[in-house]
Amino acid sequence: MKLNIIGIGACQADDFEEKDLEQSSTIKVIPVRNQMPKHLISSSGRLAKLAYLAGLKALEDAKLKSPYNLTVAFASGLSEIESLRKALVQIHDSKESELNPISAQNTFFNAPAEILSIALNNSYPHITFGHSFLSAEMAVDYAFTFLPIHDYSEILLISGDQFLVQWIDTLNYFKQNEYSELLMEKTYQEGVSAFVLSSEPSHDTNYGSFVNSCVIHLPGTESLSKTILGIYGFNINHKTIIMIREGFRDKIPQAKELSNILNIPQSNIHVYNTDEKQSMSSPLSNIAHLDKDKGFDDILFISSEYNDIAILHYQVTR
Amino acid sequence: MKGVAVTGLGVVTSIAGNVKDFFQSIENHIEPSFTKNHRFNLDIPLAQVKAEYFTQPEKDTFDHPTGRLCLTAAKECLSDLGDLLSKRKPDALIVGTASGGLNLSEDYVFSLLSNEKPKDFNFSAQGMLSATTRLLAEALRIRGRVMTISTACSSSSNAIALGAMLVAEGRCERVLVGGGDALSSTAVHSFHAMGLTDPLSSRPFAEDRQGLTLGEGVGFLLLEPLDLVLMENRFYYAEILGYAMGSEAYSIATVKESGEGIKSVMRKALRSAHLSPEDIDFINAHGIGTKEHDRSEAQAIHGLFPYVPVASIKGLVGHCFGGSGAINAIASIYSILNQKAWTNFSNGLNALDCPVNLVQKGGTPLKKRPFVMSNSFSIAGNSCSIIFGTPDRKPKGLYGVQQ
Repeated sequence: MKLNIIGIGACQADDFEEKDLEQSSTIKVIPVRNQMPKHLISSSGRLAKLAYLAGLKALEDAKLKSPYNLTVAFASGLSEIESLRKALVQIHDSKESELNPISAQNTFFNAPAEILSIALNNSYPHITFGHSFLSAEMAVDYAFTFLPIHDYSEILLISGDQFLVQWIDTLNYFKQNEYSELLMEKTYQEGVSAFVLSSEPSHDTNYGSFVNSCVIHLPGTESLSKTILGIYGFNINHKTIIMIREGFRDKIPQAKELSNILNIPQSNIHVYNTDEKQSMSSPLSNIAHLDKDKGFDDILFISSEYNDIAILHYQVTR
Repeated sequence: MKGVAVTGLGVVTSIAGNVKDFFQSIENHIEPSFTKNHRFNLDIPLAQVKAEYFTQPEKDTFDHPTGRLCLTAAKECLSDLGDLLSKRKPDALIVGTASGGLNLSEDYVFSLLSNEKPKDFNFSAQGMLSATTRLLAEALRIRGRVMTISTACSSSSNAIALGAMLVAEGRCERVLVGGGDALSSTAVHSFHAMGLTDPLSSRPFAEDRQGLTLGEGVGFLLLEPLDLVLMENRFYYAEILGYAMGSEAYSIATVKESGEGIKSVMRKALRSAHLSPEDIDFINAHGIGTKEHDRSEAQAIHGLFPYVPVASIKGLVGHCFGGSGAINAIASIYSILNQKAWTNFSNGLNALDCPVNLVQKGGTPLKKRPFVMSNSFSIAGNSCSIIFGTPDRKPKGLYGVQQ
């Protein structure tokens, strides 16, 4: 089974003009005013707003008959971490609980997906994956698992994270320079991307398809092999391009090593361009405008964190 | 699609550190061990796990409250495989958790805010939601698919449902599913700030109920293909007959009074199990003890199952947040094994706005090989209902589910 991408939407720093951004990474004001139901704007966290805007665009793009009734798989590494940070300060500073109920609601990791469902009036199931920088691949795996066994043929996949450049100053203030340097090194940007995926083979798509995805725990990333990929249904050939995506802290085998392990030419292996801004937990943010121009039509994204390896197989439609 | 058997169980809650004691505590209708303390600077009772209920892992690096509880329960669950374990490690691990490593992040942030030197802490390894999954995968040497789900109070139920899908589709052979949470400052303060905690103790479906009592606890189940288990003539606890997930899309803090969303999910679970409402023998309700959530669930149950015995275990173990679904599942399986609907753990008169057939003290005998529904809902309406049974009493076929 392939999952055809039939709608794409994004809300990320890249979409904004420089004047609307903090240091080209953080969106100053997320423009939900004329978009999101009014009663939700004040109670929503930052990520929920990004997710809503991205999700709405993808749904409109997909032109489904019932655009707001479909299962949602939401993926985030940090969820509403800014709301959580503020809540922790409130808890610490108050003698009795003076936590604002709105802040309290947004400390729940799945709050953005809940808000999204309410905003879209979508009573279909939604699920949230939070596996750090490998969350998006997990959500795609869920789509492959969920759709064949249920009566649905579409799923809305949303993935990404907020990123506030102000965190770097906060970390420096608390003398957490190691983390602040890591954040600066990684050139993250705030952003969420959304995809409507369909298991209907008849669906036309110009966006390509996901062929497979999963996150595997191995004794070490060096244990990755062609056999392991085969066990999990990843078939690679000489046309397959491997994109190595660096996570926050990872130990992905380098191109030469990977070339030997997978028995493919080293020229097929590309390290994701780290000069480009990227959304924290999602390789998906780059798929929408990825590499068609470069002529790649069969791409295996490999990311890793500790001993978890995320693999996402994507094919361009020609 | 393959049938799904539950071949292992493991649990840690405030009342018991293993499955045998957990079942015994339900059977003996023991008193809950809710205690007030000022660990979180709030004057509310909590259901905390005693230190003797979980094993201190050998490695000091495993200083992770949720991880320690999960490791204890997961080890117990896998021990049900006996000698087979050395040859058949789980090929997938799905952890449902609401907080993950949040308690460690809190300690770290609070130390910084107090200008104290924090303990060594690695946010990405210990503090993130996925930290529990990773620590567990490493400690149990699991080589395979890993997933971390967070849907608040229904997290571990969704983990069970996803595990059942993977086994049913033949994508995995042995899936370790479950999860839970240790108590965290954020969770305790958040529920309190939202006006959902009871100053006395949780009394599900009681007239004078005022809210929930937060607890800590975890549960794990091992899922395998039923045909394989039958072929090998191995013991199994129950079969997962069906499940359904849904969302209310109504409010982030409460649910519809009519119970419409919950009813829809229970109906879908019946359809998935090819059962009709009359087939269900016992409902292990989510029943957390808040005014709105209990009323909504009771209305939904009353609409579909007016005479089916109903009980909640939250008055005994508290509301164990992300772990409550897995703990409910294990308590449901006990009622199947024991052929008895256990008592609704709640002090107080049955509420007029909760018109369900609550199981009274002493329990209610069930027919041989009963079908039991286990409910789990988040406070915002993310719902999951799972139906457990044993294969010797097969569903009679598609009945068409009643409104």
